[in-house]
Amino acid sequence: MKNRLKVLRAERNWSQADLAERLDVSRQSVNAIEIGKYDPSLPLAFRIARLFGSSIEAIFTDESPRDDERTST
Amino acid sequence: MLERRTWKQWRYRSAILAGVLVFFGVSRLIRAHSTAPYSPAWPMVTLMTAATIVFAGYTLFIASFIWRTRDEFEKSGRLNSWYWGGSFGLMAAVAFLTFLRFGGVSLLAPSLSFNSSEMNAFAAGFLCPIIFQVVGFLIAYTLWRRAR
Repeated sequence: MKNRLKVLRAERNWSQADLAERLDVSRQSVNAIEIGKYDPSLPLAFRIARLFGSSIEAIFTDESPRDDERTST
Repeated sequence: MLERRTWKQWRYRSAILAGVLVFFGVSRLIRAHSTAPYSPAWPMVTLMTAATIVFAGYTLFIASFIWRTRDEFEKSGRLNSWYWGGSFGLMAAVAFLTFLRFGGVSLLAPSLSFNSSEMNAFAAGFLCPIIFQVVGFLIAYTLWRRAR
């Protein structure tokens, strides 16, 4: 799953540690989410979206094929 | 700089370490006061078992606090590691036991006497933690399934 977390964080001049503290997670978690090594749970995704005043879809992009694309092949 | 959660985790780990030291102190005290230190006399067995239960309960109690300090990323990492690492370890242990049981290590005294009671005792001791781990996993998995 792709995300715009790094961009959003940079826009606010926050370090990974700053963001981690605001989300109440570890800095390693923020790093893993940013580089796409870990997909956050829905509650954490909502927390991230709320923090940036955005929607989950605006931050996270699903790269897997959509259901209708899967069934059409 | 260490995060607040990391400090907390180290505090809890220190508490577990303190528990280990107390446990060793208590077990030494129990053995020192028993008339036959290594005999299966019931007062010593009972006291040692009770001390071990208290220590195990204390450790699990503190471990639950450590678990709560972890975020979901750390938790998922640990769950994955325990599942895959634990499964691999269990299978490796069974293979290792087979190797030992059939005299794979000739330097190991019990392995030399093939059907001896020593070897059986060794095998039982070896299998004991594996069996308890599997039983623990089955109980945890059953509870998890029932909760859903």
